[in-house]
Amino acid sequence: MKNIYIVIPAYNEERHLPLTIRKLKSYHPLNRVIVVDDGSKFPIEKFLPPAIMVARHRVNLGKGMALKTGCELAIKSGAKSIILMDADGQHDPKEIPQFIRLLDQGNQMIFGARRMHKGMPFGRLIFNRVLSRFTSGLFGLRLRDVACGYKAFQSKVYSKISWKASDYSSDIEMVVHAGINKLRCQELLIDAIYLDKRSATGITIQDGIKLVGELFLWKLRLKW
Amino acid sequence: MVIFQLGLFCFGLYMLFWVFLVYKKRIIFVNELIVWSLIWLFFLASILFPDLLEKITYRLGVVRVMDLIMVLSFVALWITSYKNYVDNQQIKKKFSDFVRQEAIKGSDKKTHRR
Repeated sequence: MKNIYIVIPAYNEERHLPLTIRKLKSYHPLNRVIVVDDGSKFPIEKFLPPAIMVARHRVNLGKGMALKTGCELAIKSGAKSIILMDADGQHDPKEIPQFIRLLDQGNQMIFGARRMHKGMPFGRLIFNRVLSRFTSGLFGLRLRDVACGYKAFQSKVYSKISWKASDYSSDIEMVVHAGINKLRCQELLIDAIYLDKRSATGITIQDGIKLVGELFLWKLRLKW
Repeated sequence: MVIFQLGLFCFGLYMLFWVFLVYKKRIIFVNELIVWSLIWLFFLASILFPDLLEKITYRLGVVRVMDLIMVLSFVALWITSYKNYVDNQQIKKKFSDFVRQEAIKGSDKKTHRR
């Protein structure tokens, strides 16, 4: 537990993040939580307990860059493993012990996969499944939900999965690098919480189409 | 000299003068001064001696002078676009790295204060 850090990128999440942190307190010490404020309109630090480490981007750089900042800060602070979660309350902290259990079993990377349920936007569900099929097929990983931001990995594999994307496609890029580097991966089925329509943020259909194109390019680069 | 030629000649002279001004202000350096001066001198020469372009065009196997100018303009545009794209990507990366490092340093300071 001591060396496991949780990294949460946040942008204008003063409504949902404090609630997420309150739930998180029961499962993980707050002084091992890093929140990266990605240029929020109102500095998010004001809404959080002082024990939490907060890094603030002066301007919004995107989820991918916020995750990078959080991971680098975690590694600098001595993290042996890192768990990534979203700030919008979609990821239930009750899954954290499961992630830790799977990390203790020697898995280098754990991917959360959201269970299908009524609250999930249907279009997004179908689109996500299609994207996951493409990614799994191209890179040899059998994953159901490549776009899920709830994941964990050992710090020593960070350099292998390090991503360049600044937006939500960083989640996909991590999957691609994990597949390319043949990391020992495990999938964990999780419950997803959709608090309101706003909380269903993430990759749009247009982003997805662009991503599918990028997936093929990554695959081509491998062949070269 | 036709009025149109005179107008273009004056424009060319003005641009040459601007290149020197910018050089004196140290916005561009010697190598850039030489390149841009040569470009504008060639422009002036082609205004004063229109046959010069026809001879060059003939040597290159292009039928019309206008065709040559169009092709060269497109090539110049593509090179400029690509250079702008590369420069933009570099600036984005530097900016992103800077903001992230500032955020990490800021967090370090707060941690030490606790």
